[in-house]
Amino acid sequence: MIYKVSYVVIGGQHRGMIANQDEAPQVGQHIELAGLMCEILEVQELVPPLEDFAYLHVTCRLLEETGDS
Amino acid sequence: MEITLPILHAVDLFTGLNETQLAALAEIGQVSEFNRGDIIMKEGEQTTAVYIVLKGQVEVVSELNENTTSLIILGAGQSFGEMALLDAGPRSATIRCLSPEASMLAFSREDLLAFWDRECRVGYRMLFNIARDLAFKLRIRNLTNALPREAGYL
Repeated sequence: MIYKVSYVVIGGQHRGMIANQDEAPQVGQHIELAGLMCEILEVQELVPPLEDFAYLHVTCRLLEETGDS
Repeated sequence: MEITLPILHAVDLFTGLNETQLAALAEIGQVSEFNRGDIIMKEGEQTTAVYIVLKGQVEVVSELNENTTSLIILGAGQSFGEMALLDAGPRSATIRCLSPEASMLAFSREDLLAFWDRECRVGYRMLFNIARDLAFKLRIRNLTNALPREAGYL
């Protein structure tokens, strides 16, 4: 399964991101979004899966800036 | 960057296409490389190619009313430029390379429409996938518009 995931970060310090990934995001997981470390707060299925693709919406909170990009 | 079938299988715009169809599509696409800060398309310009991010990240930027607003980041597997593919109108946003390096697969509107005329099932599937992707983005917009004012917007 490929997960098409939209990320939104509470607090407005990140403009959000859409990416396709091999693994499903998990609540509590720490991820880097374009230079910002974030913690996943909520994962919801946005629309039903289609063939090999699942469509998810993730809400995160900012942890720290990595300065990577 | 070499285009491989596993890379194309991970693109939702190509969902439902078999390996023969994917290989034929790869033949009419063109791979372009970009570096951080490069402008891939400019808001308002009259270009009509559609792009797929093969590697790296790009930033979607709105420059309406002389205010530059970063709208969202697109990573590998995402497509952009579909609106001009459908209506041949001016670009609705600027796309800028955000990662140190990025690779795009670009299809000219003319080549893609001609291909869809020859391969109608491919055309049906890709148009369905484009519509589904636009619906996905509209649902995201609806969700984020419902967030409090201080939340991040797409």
